[in-house]
Amino acid sequence: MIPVVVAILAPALAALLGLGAGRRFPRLVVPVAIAGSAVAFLAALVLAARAISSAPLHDRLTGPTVPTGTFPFGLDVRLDGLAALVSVAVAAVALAVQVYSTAYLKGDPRYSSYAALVSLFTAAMMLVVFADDLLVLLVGWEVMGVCSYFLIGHHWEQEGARAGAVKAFVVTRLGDVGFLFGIFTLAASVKSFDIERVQAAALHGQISQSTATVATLLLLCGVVGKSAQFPLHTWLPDAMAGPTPVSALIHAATMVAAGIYLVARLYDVFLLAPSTLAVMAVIAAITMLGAALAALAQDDIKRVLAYSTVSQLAYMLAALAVGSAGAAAFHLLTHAAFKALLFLAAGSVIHAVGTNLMRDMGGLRRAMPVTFVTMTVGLAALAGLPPFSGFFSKEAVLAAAEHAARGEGPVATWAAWLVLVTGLLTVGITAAYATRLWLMTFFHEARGPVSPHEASPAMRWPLLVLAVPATLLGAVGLRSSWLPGWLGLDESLRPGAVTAALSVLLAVAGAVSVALVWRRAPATDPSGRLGRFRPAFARAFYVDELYDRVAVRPVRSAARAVLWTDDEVVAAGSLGSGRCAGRAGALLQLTQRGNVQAYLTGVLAGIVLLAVGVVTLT
Amino acid sequence: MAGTQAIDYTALAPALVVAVTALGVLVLDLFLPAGRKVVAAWAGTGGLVVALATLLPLVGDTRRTFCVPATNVDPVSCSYVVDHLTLVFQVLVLAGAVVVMLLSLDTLRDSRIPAGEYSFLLLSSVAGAVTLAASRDILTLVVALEVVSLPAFALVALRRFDSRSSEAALKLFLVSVVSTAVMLFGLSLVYGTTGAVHLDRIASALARSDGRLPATVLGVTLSLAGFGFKVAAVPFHFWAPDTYSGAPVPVAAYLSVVSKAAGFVGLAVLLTRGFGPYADVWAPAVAVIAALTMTVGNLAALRQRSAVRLLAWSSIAQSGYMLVPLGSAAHGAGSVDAVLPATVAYVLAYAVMNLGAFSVVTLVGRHRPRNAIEDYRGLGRTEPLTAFALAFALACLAGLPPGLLGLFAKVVVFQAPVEQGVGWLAVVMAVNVVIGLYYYLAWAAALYARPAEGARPPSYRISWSDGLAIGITLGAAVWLSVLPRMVLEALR
Repeated sequence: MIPVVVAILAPALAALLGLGAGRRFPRLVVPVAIAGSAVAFLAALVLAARAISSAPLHDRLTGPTVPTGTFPFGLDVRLDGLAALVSVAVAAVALAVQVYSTAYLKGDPRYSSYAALVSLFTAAMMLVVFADDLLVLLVGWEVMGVCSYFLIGHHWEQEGARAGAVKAFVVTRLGDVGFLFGIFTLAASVKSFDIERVQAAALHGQISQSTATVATLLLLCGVVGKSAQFPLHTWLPDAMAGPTPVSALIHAATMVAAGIYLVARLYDVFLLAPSTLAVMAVIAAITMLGAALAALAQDDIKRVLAYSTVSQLAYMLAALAVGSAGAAAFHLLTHAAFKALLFLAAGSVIHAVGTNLMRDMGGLRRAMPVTFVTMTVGLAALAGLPPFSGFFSKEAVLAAAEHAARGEGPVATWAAWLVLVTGLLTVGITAAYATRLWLMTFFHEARGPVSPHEASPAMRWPLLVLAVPATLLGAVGLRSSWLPGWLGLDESLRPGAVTAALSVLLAVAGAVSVALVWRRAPATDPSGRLGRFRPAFARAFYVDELYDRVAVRPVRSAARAVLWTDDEVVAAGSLGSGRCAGRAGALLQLTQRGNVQAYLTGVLAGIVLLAVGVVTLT
Repeated sequence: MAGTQAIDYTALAPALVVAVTALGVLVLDLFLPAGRKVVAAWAGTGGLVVALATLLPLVGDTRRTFCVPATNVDPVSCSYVVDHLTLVFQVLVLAGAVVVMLLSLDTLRDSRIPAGEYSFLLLSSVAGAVTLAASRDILTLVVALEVVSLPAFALVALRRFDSRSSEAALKLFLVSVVSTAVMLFGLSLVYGTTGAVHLDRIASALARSDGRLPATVLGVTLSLAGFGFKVAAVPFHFWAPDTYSGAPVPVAAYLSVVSKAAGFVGLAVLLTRGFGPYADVWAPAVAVIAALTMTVGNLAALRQRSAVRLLAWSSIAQSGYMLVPLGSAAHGAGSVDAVLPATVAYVLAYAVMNLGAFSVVTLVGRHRPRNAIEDYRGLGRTEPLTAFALAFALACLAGLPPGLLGLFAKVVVFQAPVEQGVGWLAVVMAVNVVIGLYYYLAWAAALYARPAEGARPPSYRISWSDGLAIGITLGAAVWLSVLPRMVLEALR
């Protein structure tokens, strides 16, 4: 179990060193940050090797117990196949991002705090992955949130970065309130914060269905917030104001997947609550389709990827809704690889052309061959083209949905059908926006003013390394002794014949139709053909505008009213009472002139008053 | 056999050790060369530590001595009882006295105060305080209270070269004499109507009497005066600010902590063990006194510029908080027993945090005789640890985190009027806590403020005795902030 502790503490130590001494020893910043994630990565590899060689692994390190007055919580960590594999994904992306950032943010004046925060984030995510106690997990969960806030606001001199950071923090916080109460509901019913015990209680029927439904719905609030699902998805596109490597790590591969991971962790509890699963299915269906349509009309390359992340996370949620934790974990792992790759490649493009807008890109294929090839791999995986990884994991999700639609899942068949149909539709749209991004960025002629160049080696190598799992990782689902075995699950993750054929067909259709539109006018945006729908897609169906009307403006008005009350009523009152107290003190000073006769008179007068009062009143 | 009885010397040991040490120190002082007089103070400190050690065998069971035989209505009654309450206060008194002695060592070396007399007087007063905690009849109570007070007059006057000192002593003396006279009058009325001197017999006599005799009611009320003086409750508080600022600072610390704790244990014992059946008489009176005391103390503290005077008024206000639980006891003996732990808890917490503040104030006052709040500006930059100790003590006194000790103690005190249904007292206390926040925090903020233009923030070489005193009090305050049960449940 030592590697578990190392995987958590090494990045934490790097963060501590970076925050404490980074300013004074700027030369140490990069080695410390990279060493922290590298050690964590090695530890994660050791753990994964153990998990694979002795699958199904289930190990637990009991830490000290902290009394709280009600139910104690324990600093326990646990190791199983899911935790080990997710930790490898986290550490690998973190390491790639740390290396990549050395070039991407070269010369940034706040680099030391940036690197330290990324390390801190890595440690927090590791804590979430390995924690076997809901309260400890919550600590990691919240530390991730605050790191995300700081890193989105890295360029705080820009208005957009500040607003995005605050929005991310507030919106996820909204979900976290429910999450916290979900934890309390579970703990109150099981009398423990221990995840293992909660799961065991769920398996042995010690949690009633109503309790499980309430608790899981509350937990789902936090999951929806953290994993940017409808209706709390709006923060993720705005979070793209942060540096691109941060988007790759936090807002694509790891933190946003933590919500999914949590559900997988407490899956036995969720299985007790079919209505929660149905809610999840509906949320997932709305999110995957809506976000994919929104991605189709974005001009900012990072916002395309952000909406695509929202949409892909919805696939994972859908897999959980139809009863397949294995498919969710599978898609989580492949998505971590190809989406981190896509973000880093996009960063490389942005770094070269100096803009996020695709209308100013174009023709980068020749100038940036490595970026082109790796991004093509990533987009193919995203679009779900065989044999890239995304195809297999997405097919696993769709196969599970089909399975459930035949009535063999834990969720109602209508929910499974909903997931299956929207999932297939979304495959087509995903291929369409991936093709649009690919064509607009890399083909035809350069539209921007600068002449682009290939990225430096520190940025190229992470791309090449991440392209390997983005291509090959899909194979682990092919045999039931591989990924399902490592996870200790008794299910198949192989693509279903009908759904696979349908989705490949739809993907090709989506890609080809975009390509045909594009060929007619290669210099323009193919999404122009959407006509009247385009503004609605580009504004993501006006959800932000709706929230502005319904929530933001009323709250602002209320805040102004409170401020006015505070200024005019409370402040005036406190100033006045302060002055009164001061004057009363001055009056009392008069009695304290140092005259002994006056003192004695005061004493005797007081005694007489007291005695008379007591004798007459009793 | 009538006329002789066995005396439990183990129970008496703490008081005896202190008293014998006091005499020994006086004799030792005669043989010390002029430059080495401070050794007497050392010996005195040692005696206090030994007295603390003699408390150890007393833990656990209740010991009684100086008893009178049972009568046909009353069981055996004893004048000197060492029970749990006694032990708690004896520990407080002795430990507080050790800290005061540590603080005095440097003062004695550097000033013209005679070390031998100083130590003798302080120990004598402590002997009285230790005895007071165990006294269970009104005669012993009065004698012990006077043993605490009389040496204090001389202690305050020891700075013979300073006229303020003599004036302060005179004021203390006069107010004390008047209060004691009133108290003796009250106690004699009580004795006259009950015919008993032992507290338990007074209580049973009061319980037996049907109806309320005005003479008894008057006697009970007037008896509050002597202890009211000792704890500096309004209207017996006038001496405190003048005396604190005229006396050597360690003596002020002694008066505000050890002597005040002695007053509280006397008051608590008298009211709960003796006058319990008359709780409906004295509790409203105590409640009014408590409300007045904290209000007057806090309002006057707002205007203070001198550190010692501020602490004087603040300790008056704190006395008000300590009286609140006693003032909430209204209905019967059960309620009296219920409120006692809250008062005890607050006295203990107050002793720790006020000694903490006085430790640093003594240190600063030795270098800046004016000892104004302004002199503390920027202390946090040059003396971070000392400044932290003071800031922590002030946060405790204010009842604000991180000073959790003060916060918990205030909550416990606050519960008493709420649970006993004396709502107005709770409201007065809440308002007062808010007023108190201002001057404590203004002072704490000054510690970390930018020093005034051109002024050099103070920096000291801290002697180990001062360091030890500051360390003990800060350590205790932090420790008890983390684990407050030791204080809050001291009586359980």
